[in-house]
Amino acid sequence: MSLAPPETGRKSMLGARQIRKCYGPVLALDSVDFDVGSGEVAGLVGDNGAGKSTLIKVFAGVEHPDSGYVVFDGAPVAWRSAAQARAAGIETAFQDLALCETLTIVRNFFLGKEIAGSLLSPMRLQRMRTEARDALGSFRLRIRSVDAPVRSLSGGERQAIAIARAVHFGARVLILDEPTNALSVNETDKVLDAIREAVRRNIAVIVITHTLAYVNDLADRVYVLQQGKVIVTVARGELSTADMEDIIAGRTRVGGDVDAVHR
Amino acid sequence: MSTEKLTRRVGISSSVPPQLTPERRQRATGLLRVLVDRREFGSLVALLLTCTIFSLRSPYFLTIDEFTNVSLLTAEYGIIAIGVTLLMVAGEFDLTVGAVFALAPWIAGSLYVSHHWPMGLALAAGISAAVGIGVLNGVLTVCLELPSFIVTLGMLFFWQGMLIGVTGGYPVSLAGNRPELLRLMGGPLFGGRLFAPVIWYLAILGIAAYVLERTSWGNWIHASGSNAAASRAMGVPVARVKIVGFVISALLAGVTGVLIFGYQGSAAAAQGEDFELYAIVAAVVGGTSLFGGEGTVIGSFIGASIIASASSGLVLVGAPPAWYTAFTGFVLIAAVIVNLRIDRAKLRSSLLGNR
Repeated sequence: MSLAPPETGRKSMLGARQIRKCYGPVLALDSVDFDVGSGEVAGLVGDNGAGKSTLIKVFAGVEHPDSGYVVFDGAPVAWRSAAQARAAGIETAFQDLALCETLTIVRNFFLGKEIAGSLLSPMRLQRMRTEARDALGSFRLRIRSVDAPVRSLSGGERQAIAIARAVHFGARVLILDEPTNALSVNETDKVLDAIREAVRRNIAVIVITHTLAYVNDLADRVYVLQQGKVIVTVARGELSTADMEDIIAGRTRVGGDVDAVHR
Repeated sequence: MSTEKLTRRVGISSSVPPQLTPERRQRATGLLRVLVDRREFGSLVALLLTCTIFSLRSPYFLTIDEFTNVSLLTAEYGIIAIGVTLLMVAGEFDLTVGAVFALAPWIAGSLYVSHHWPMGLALAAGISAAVGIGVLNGVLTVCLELPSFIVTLGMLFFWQGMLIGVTGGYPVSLAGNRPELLRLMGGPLFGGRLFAPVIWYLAILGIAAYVLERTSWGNWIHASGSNAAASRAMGVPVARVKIVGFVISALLAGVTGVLIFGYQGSAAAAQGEDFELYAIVAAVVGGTSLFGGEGTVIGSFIGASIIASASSGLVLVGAPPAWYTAFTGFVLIAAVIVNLRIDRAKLRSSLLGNR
């Protein structure tokens, strides 16, 4: 295993180098290497407790590694806080935590970044509406009215709006935790369309999921985590979904020699 | 039709190129639509109904005298309800307002009468005490992560008990010797047809409505009450928004106490009982959600008007005073039912794309 980014044509936007993290006696992450380039999708799969959440928390500045480090835009970084990571352009969207249901679409879209002279001066609602409508339109989300409350939208639309919002406000890395959980096929398509649009705009996307079927097709690389270790990295189309399921479930043994599986 | 089919028609669909939306066409239905779309519509109908019934039953209801009474009472409930509403939209309750309403003028009155402080300074001290209680409510709730319902209920009992204990229940009275400053707070205007608290109320109402509906801070208040975690993730300082909310709520309760002190020329230690509950009734009747994230101060103004009209109107039609409480309970439950129905109907119509 080498410390260099895996065989990818692109420069790494966000990466992990030999990251190790313990919670007491539990080893949550063990020498994890990871890379995602701009305009790429990296999948992160594995069973519950495999370390997926811990890794994204390290990326998002919520947790700090015991050893190893995060590489962002070519330089090692040590986030002091989640706010710092966010300011640098790492946006995390959790499915149910993304939007405020009772607020209108436009008020959600600009939440925390309202267009106004100051906290107590009037918001430029017309400008906000136009800008939100254009941004959502460019994500091929056609909306009847940005003044509709978010609770009138479906799960897929909400997730797509959260993605469009992150991209609109300059995110460079987008971390999506189970973005299609509990969504119908039709709704899942809306989310996948939004992710593809983000990729087209050169955003680096990390997708954490249990659903292998679509990630195998969507992601340029899938990292399979098990007990805190990346046990295998699979390039797009290299393995069938069934093969990956076997690896995650432990039915196929994967040793240090990753190539053994690839063959 | 299944929910999913409905959902698909909401108006957002992928793979359709961006284009101008038919919003303008819906605007054409005009003023009525705007009115019906407002949250306060149900309560406005209720207010008109209440007033119509009372004016049919009593020839004295639609008179200047009655307007003077009702407007003053509306202001009294209404200013307190503004703070309570702002806080409910932010997802928190404030039950301490009844005690603060009594405490602030009592402190001001005692300092003026017994310690000969200048009135301005005495009033400032009373208002500062109110602000202090608001800060305490906010810090206990936000920093210790306690439920505001319990914190402010405890503070209500504590301060009500302290005040009665210290004063023995006796009021502070200025005995006709009212300084100019107090006249400005609560004195008569236009030959006694209107009292100053009403003007103060309208001014505060305007400012509060503007802040809540038009500013970023207002957006943050809504967001904090709607989904605190999501708001935090978007960089909204939820803790600060809530603490400021508690301070504003206590401040407005103290201000109301001082205005009524100016009107009465005395401050009773026992006044303001149940005001915290009437403030919540006014807010809820006006369409404010108990779960946060939704509500308007215009709604709470209408709610306060209904309670005040009923309080005065029932006396005019010769009903025993206890009926007032019964009426308030009835209106509260009726309002919740109607508002819920309106919400559902609106959601359904926006799902169907009829908005």
